[in-house]
Amino acid sequence: MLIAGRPLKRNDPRSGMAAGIGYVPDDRKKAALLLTRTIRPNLSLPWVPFGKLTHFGVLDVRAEKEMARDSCRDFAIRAPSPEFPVVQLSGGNQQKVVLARWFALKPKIVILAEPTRGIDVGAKSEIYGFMQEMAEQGTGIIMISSEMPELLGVADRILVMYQGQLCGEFDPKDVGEEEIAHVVCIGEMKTAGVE
Amino acid sequence: MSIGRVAGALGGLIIVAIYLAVTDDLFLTWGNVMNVFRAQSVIFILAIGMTFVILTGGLDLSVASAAGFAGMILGLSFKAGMSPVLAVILCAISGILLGVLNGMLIGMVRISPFVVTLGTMSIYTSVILVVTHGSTVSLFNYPKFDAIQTLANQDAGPFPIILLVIVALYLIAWFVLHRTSFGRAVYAVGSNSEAARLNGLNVPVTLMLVYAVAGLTYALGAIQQDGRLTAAVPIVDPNQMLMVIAAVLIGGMSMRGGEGGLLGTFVGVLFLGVIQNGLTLKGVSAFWQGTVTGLILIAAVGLAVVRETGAMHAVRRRVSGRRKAEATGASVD
Repeated sequence: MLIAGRPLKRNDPRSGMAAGIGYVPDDRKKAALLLTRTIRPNLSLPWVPFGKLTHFGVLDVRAEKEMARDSCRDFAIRAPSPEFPVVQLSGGNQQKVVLARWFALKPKIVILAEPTRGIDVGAKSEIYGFMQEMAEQGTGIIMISSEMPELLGVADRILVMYQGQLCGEFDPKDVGEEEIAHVVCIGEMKTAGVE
Repeated sequence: MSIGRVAGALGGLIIVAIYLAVTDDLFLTWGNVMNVFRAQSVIFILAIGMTFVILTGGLDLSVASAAGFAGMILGLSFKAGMSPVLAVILCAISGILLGVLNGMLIGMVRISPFVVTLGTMSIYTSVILVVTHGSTVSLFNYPKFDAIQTLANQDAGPFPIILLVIVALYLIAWFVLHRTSFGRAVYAVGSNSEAARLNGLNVPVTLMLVYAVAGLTYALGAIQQDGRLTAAVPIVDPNQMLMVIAAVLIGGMSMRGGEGGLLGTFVGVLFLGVIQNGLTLKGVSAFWQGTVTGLILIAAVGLAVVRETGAMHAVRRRVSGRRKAEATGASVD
């Protein structure tokens, strides 16, 4: 895989981060959040291995607190303070924590897998807003979603994949849900052996 | 870290201490309280390493065996005429290596901590017996051993020197856990190792380092143990492993990892020490101590489980309530 023309060293999260890629997995409880901890260490989780807050392995807690406060404010994370347990946040606010941790690092590319799954409508539109803002600041966003209206509303370019195969590219301005659904069906039939 | 997890052990400690203070004149004397710390000194040190291990969601059953092994290295080094500094360094290195062996099998080969340390517990003990043919290495009347004996048994002003050492060790360990990137990794791996991996942490290396740090604290505990006994003994006290693990769990740490900390461990060790001291003061047979320790362990962890499942019920109610609300909202649309 090439990132900005340069190949990834290895196929692991560390190399991806070093190349400027952030990844927000679809299952935030299983794969993203430290549910036993407060907001602050959840936010700084990728910052620390990134070398952002450490001098020779020692944490700069003051800088971390400052970054955590900024993130809570910029991403409208609704909690009394960054020292609030992440398990007690609503799904939408938990998701904002996961997004904020990556966006604070200003990555080149962020991969968002189902970023609005299981969260309420208000938080959804807030998250679309943050994505818009980040895209304007120059972060490339790859959103993986199975919700058609969301894709049509948010994306500049839609690529349809079926079982690891690319089977269509669309401009959301030109197409409706039916056309995309059609391509998905064809992909499905091909793999099922129906020509 | 919430104070709530420590509250149980702290409450228990205070209640028992008040009871003993009221019913026994000897209990609250300075000498007796310092004796509690002295009697628990080895457990205090070993429990630091166990805290790191259990924070990652692991377990180290080889704690007492590894300490016995490192203690024997210390004893044999003195016996071979080495300087105290060299003996201590060799002891520390042996402890770290035993920990690295545990950590590599757990972090890299990915065998469960229970199985790995159950195995190494047996191996470390057996190797000591093979090397010493089962005989104790006495360090009595060894001038070179004086420094360690002083450290282990003498006072500095009103405090036992070892108590000051223990406090210093807990402060250093606190710094490592809460002010270094390694400490953050320890909590992250224990809380959610998949999230830790996806956020660029090296989980196998973190686990290996945790068991290495644990091994180092076992070596330090071993030095204190030899100092107190003026000997390196080949037979490992099976109670010691139970005491260390029990103290950490009584202190409020979850076996699943990622929560709790050193304050709880300190209180847990002290609590068990006060109980032992109380039983001795009351003239209860030492044979009962295992029963009491076991009961407290089950009660403390049991209470935590009840509290957690109670909290789980509340969360479940809230989530199902929200789902219902969403479902009705959708049907209105």
